[in-house]
Formats: sequence, C-alpha cells, structure tokens
Amino acid sequence: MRAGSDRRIGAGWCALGTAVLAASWRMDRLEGLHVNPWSVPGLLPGLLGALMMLFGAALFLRGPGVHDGKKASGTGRTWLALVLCVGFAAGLLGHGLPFWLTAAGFMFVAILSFRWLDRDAEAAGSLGRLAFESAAIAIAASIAISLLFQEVFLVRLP
Amino acid sequence: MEGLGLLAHSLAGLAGPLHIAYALGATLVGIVIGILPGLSATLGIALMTTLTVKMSPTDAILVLVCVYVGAIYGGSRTGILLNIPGTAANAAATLDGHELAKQGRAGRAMGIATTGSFAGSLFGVLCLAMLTPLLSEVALKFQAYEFFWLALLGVLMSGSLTGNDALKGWLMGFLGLLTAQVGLDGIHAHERFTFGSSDLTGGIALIPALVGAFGFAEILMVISEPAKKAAINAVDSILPRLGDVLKYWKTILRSGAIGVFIGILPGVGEDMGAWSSYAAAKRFSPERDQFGKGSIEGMLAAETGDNAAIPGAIIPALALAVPGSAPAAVLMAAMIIHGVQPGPMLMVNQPQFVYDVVAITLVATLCMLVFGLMMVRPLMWVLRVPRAIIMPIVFVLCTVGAYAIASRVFDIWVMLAVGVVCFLLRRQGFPVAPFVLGIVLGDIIDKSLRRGLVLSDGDLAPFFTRPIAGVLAAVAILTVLAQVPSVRRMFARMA
Repeated sequence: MRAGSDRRIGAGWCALGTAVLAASWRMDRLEGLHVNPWSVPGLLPGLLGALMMLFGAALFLRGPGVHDGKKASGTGRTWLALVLCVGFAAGLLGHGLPFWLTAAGFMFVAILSFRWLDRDAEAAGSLGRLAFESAAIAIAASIAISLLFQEVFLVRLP
Repeated sequence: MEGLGLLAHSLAGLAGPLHIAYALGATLVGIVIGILPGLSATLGIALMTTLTVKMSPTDAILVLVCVYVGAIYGGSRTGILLNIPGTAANAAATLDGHELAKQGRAGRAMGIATTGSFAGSLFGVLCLAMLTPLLSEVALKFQAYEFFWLALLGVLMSGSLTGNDALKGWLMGFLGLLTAQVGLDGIHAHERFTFGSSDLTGGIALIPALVGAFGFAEILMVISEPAKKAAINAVDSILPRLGDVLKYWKTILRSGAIGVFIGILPGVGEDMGAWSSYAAAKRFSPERDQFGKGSIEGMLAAETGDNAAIPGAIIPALALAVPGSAPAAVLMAAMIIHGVQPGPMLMVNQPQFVYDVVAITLVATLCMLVFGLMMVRPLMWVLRVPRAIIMPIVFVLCTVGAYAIASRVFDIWVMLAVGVVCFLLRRQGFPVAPFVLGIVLGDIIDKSLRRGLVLSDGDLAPFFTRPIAGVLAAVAILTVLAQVPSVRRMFARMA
C-alpha cells in the first residue's frame, strides 16, 4: 500500500516538475531589455523543475523507502479540525466581524468538540459542564490575545 | 581584545531591568512552548517574531533567542515525564530520561537535563564568540560561486539528515526553493509564477509560510490522533549535581564540540546534534550497556549536544547568512525584518550586533538555568492542560501571527495553504525542515547562480575550479551520491 502511495506521489512530483519546467521555459527572457542571457528569470525555476522531475521519477521507480510518516488515523477528527480552522481563518476573519468575537466563537466550538471526542482520556464531566468550561476558556483566551497583540505589542488584528 | 570590549559593552547593555524582564519572560514562554508536545522552537520563534516587530533589533533578538534556548531545553521535561519529546531535539534524551523517571528518578533526570543544557549552551556561546568573527573573515573571500554551493549544500544536507528518507527531504527542499521564487525576481524585478495576482507579486512571505508549516500542520497532526491518558510520575530532587559534571567532563566537552559542529553545518539542526553526541558518548563510554536503560551519561550527552547546537546554528546564520537549523532560519529572517543584514559584511558593518547576539545567548542560558532550578511543579502543570484546549488557542495565535507583520489577509491564506500541504506531505514521510530552509535560501541561490554565470559569461568552470567553491561542490555532490545504494556499497567495499 505504501509502495503504491510513494509511486503516486512520485508521479505527482514529476507532473509538478514538468509544469514548472514548462512555465519557466515560457517565462519572458527579457530580450527586449537586452539583459544578459545568463540572468533570465526562469533559469533557477527551470532547473528546479527539472530536478523535481528527476527526483520524482526516482521516487516513482524506487518503490517504498524508509518511512517515518505518521500512519493515517482519525480521518473524521482531521476533517473536523480542517473545517473549523479553515472556516474561521478564511471564512470569518477579515469580513467585518470583531476579532475577539470570531476568535472566541471558533475556540469555543473547537475546544468543546475535541474535549468531547477526548472525553475518555480527559475524564471530562457532562456536556453542560464541558460547554461552560469551554466557553469560559474561549472568552478569556480571546480577550487576552486581543489585548496582548493590540494594546501591549501594538500589532493590528485581522 | 577588541572583541572582549564589544562583548563587555553588549553585556552592560543587557543589564537593565527591562531587558532582564524580557529575557526571563521569553525564556519561560520558550520553556512552555518546548514542554507542550506539538509546539516547536521554530513555531515559537516565528510567532514571537510577529509580537516583537515594533521592538528595537536587540530587544527583539533577545526575546527570540531566549524563546529558542528555552524551547529546546523545555522539551526534555515532556520526554522525561511522558516519554514524548517536547521538540525533535529532545528525542535522544527521552531514551534515558524516561527510563530514569520510570525508576522514580524523574527529578534526577531533570537535573541532568539542566546540567547538560547549561554546559552545552555555555560551550556553544564560547564558540559563537570565537568562531563567528573567524568565519566572517573567511567568508569575505566568498563570491557568488561559493554562496551558491553553500546555500545548495544547506538544502541538500537538511534533506539528507532531518528525515529518514533523503529523496523526500531533497524534494521538500526543492519545493521550498521554488516557493521562494514566487513574486518579483531579485535581479530584474520580473514577475514569476504570480498568475496575475497582485498578492502573489509580493511573494510568499516567510513567517506565514513557517507558521503554516510548523504551526497549522502540527496542529492537524496532533489533533488527528486521539488523546491518551497522561501519567506523570512523582518527582524527586531536581538539583543538578557537581559530581555529574566532574565524572563526565570528557563527555560534556565532546558533546559540546559535536553539538557546535553539527549546528554549524547548514540546515542540520539540534536533533542531529543530540543524536550524534549520544552516539559518540555510547561508543566511548565504559558504561555503554546502560544506554537506553536510564544512563546518566547518555542523557547528559544528548542534552549537551542539542543545546550546544543552538549557538552553533547561529554562527553560520550571522557569518554567512546560511542558517544552521530551522529555528536559526527564522531567527535570521527576524534579523532581516529588523533591518540587520546577516552575512560576511555584518562583522564589518555592525560588529557590535554580533557581540550583542553572543551576550544575548549567554543571558538566555542563565535564564534557562534559573527556570531549570525553579518552577518545576508549575511547569509540570502545563503538561496536564488537555491539548484539546491548547491547540485551538495556538491556531488563533498562528492566524494572528501570519497576519500581523504585513496586515495582509492573503498571508492567512498562505499559512492555511502551506499548513495543509505540509500536513499531507508529512503524513507520507516528507520532512518539513528542508522546505523551510529552501524558502530562506531560495533568494541567495537564485541570485548567486545568475550572478556567477553572468560574471563567467556562462562558463561553469569557476563553480568547480575555485578552491572553496570546488570543496563545497564536492561535498554537495557526495551528499547526494552517498544516498545512492550502489555508491554506498562501493564506498563500503573501499573502506
């Protein structure tokens, strides 16, 4: 299964390398500006594309190597984390809502969801108690982060 | 003598109450980051870079170096108590540290970690003060050819040594180099891979990419695994013992030297410093049968090695603008954000800053010792906070951190995209550190290659025939060939 996975990924690297090489070849060589031909902008990207093709092909042909990648597990948890994080960062921020409110809302939902999923390890109480604790933590953390960045370190928030 | 005067001036400048407060606070933050599994020194420095953007360069670097030293040290606590290294650098120390904890000697293990970390950092600071000026002087002779090979060597070595599969490491390095090519090119200001987007014209900013690679990707890695019950053993006395230093002084010196050497190698990092020191200690120890079963010498070697690698990794970042590790790469980027240009000319233009960094690393080491001796129980409390609480808070910090430097929402999208890509690739065994090195070194490699070719009018010979460039080229080529099985077998037969 891993061998197949490495082969697919090797083919993917080859495809990416080919696309990069083609884009670099088509990149403007600035001949109209009479620049030195050895300083064209596509030189290094083209070399990188070729190297990706070469090494991707090596990965494809080699089959499985030594693997230290984490075994895929908890697909549902991963999707939940992805939806929550991307929804908050790309969907809510920068659309006029106050930062502290969106951050508190995100943290409340995320903390409650994952504490509920981890309730066996955490020896957590009832859902109502978890919800109360999660809300308190989310509001406190949101206010603390907003104050720290905006008032202490004078950094703008999204 | 001039160097000593500059160092004394730097130390005097850090003696004020505000600087001491910054140093203590930042070291404590670093230790907490190190203790929390999933949060790395690299992420800690990247997030703190955004917080310190309005500070003076020296104050900002003080905070960042303290976070760096604190995080590498703090990771040993988690390794000892939970058998989970807080950072990758503490994996070697975990082998014996957790065994000691299981024998009811967790406090003793923490004391050894403090002794080793302090000794390693001090040794590294000494090397930082002595070697940075020397390396800068040598680097003044470097031209585009040498810088090209040096930067490429950094990416290749990082690819070879930071994961278990060199091929995947190199591919990640090339991806990082390619990412750095997005935006206006450094010579003609021509747009590359921007697809008509004005946001991409500004390029992929380093800090959002780093926060994505080390923050968001790590959050997804941690949160996708169900939580396990944490069992923390009781802790005995944590006081370091002078007897350990006297008994194992040779191991401490050897590990310090190995740690600094590994740190100086471009792109390799603290974890290799720890493993190499551990392996050398095991080889030369009369107690080698105890290694892995709670060996004090083994743990001392690993912790000395990883902490000595911190100043070691800063040396090439300052002298060559080629960082020795991923955290040092972020530190170097922070220096650039604050208007300091690392490289051979730094010693000529801003020698005081180099000694400021030496003094800062020394102060960070002392702060680490303070927290190593105190606050053991409050810091253990951090381990009891469920990760379901910590990770969402860290993600909010990642989002703000990605946005804060340029106030661009686009940088949040970069953080998300890099995080998802790195998460998916990490699951397939692709290491992240070479990718980061690639982003940092992409500009140097691009400019050096094209400038070198323009200078030689397309002749490749100077890339191989100039003495230093030739040596660097040979090492780079050997780094790749050494991973080819048939070549390895040939080398083995020759040996």
